Amino acid sequence: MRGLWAFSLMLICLATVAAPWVFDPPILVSHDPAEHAFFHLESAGRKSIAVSGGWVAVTWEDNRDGVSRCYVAVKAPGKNVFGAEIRVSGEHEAFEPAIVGLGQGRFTVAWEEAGQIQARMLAADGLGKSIILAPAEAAQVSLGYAQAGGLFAVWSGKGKAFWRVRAARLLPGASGALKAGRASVIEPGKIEGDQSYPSVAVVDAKKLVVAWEDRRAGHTRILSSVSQDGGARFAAPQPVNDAIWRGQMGGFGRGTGVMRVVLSNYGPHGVAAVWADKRDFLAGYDVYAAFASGPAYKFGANEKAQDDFGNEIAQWHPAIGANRQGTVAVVWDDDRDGTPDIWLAWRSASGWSDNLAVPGASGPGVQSDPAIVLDDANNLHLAWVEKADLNSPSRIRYVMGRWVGEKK
Amino acid sequence: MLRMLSGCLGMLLLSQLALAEPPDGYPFVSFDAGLRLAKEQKRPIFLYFGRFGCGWCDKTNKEAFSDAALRKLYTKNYVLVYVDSESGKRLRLPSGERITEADLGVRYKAFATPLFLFMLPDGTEIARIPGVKTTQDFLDYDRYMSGAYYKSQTLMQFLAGKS
Repeated sequence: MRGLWAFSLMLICLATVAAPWVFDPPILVSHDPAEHAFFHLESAGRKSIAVSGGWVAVTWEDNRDGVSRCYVAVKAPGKNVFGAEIRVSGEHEAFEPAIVGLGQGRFTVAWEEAGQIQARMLAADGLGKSIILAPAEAAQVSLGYAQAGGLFAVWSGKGKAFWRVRAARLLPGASGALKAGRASVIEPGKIEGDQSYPSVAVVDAKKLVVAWEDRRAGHTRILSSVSQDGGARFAAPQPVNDAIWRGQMGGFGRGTGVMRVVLSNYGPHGVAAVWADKRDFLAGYDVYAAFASGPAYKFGANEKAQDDFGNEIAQWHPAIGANRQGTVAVVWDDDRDGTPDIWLAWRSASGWSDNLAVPGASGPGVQSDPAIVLDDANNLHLAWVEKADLNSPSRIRYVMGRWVGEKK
Repeated sequence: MLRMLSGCLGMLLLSQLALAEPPDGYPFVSFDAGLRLAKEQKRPIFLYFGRFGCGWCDKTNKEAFSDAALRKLYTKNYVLVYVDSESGKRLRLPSGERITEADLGVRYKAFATPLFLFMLPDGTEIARIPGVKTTQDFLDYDRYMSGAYYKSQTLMQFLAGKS
């Protein structure tokens, strides 16, 4: 028995040693010391962190002055500290900001404010003027960018009967200017259920993939669609998650649940997706991933990204970071060690790694709600919410994982 | 005033976005409204975590909550709160924090649905009951709560000793 324990420990140590990142000490993102402020990283597509030419930006919502507002903080290249928080939202209650890097230290941030979707540019010389992408009855905005394909926003907006996902091209200009193209619905015509929490990956020139939560089937599914013409029209939706329903419920209910799909570019022309999947419904949500490429961008086999030690407990808030070199990492929070920690898995030729409790993002207290992005050098940038317990005031931390894996 | 209006607008929008499945005929309210009502009315809370499309929830709704006497009893004795554990609908906690119903589910560890909780008017959790339940089960839970047996024994102890 003691030998088995020692062997297990050795395996765990080996997994730790084998991680292709070495982690710096974590640093604070949010400096505001407000004792009763609650910080949230919760954008659709978990796009709460972005990199751009060596700059790192994190966006979040907090209620430091009693009203939920959106903020961003930026870390300059080579620095080990984030600058002062910059408020990006206006006078109304605002939620779920998303951010994407455009290169050369430029970013676009978008958020929900009083039912509108707004967006603006951010660069070293400050914020650009905010523009309105959706004037009313809209929520859950996310962003995607690729140099070849441009910048896109997706969100859920109220339709006649149901909420439906829309996409619009955004056009960054000089001096912080931002313009929005015409918004298109992903699925024209009648739909049979709400579409929500979209995520977008811009793949190539005029090619983008959108995935979202869809309730037409009477339970929540993840569907995706590709546009080959810059977001003007989208192909018919395709399923992303396997529909697991064994029919043993005597006709009750419609199926298992899924939550919060996240897309990232993966490899030269591919897309990676991760989501929380309740197919094993007695043990709660698990972390599943899938990959898409080819002309139709149909997502392939669903892969469980967590290891077996997480099977009997629920995983929450999965996020994925991937890049064009083909490096891919998934993070989430779960409390397998007693309190919520940030866990990391990465994918190699032999499959998904054992899970690693991220150094600095695990241990006593609550570490949850991770957001992740990989830069072109395969370095990992991770932000998360930290608090003493589940209902305590919180703050946001960041850690960089420096790539020590093989050169790609 | 403007802030309040924008907050109300946001809540209204997201309440429409969220599609929940509470049982028919019960006056379920949102979590934050339920906490307020419970304090005002000094009534305990019956909190139901469900999920859109959940088979066990559907079974419980159709086979247990369809009972007219149970509906009358629970409507009278409890502030009824329903939470869609996958929903993005926002609510305000007593601390002032704004979170989604899905994240309320994270905090209450509502990873398997249905999950039922009985709470005192101040939000103190009394009993936590996962899974499919019958009408008789809910009648027993009501005797436990209405008789204040929770002051001296756990629900499991009460159920083991019931005649």
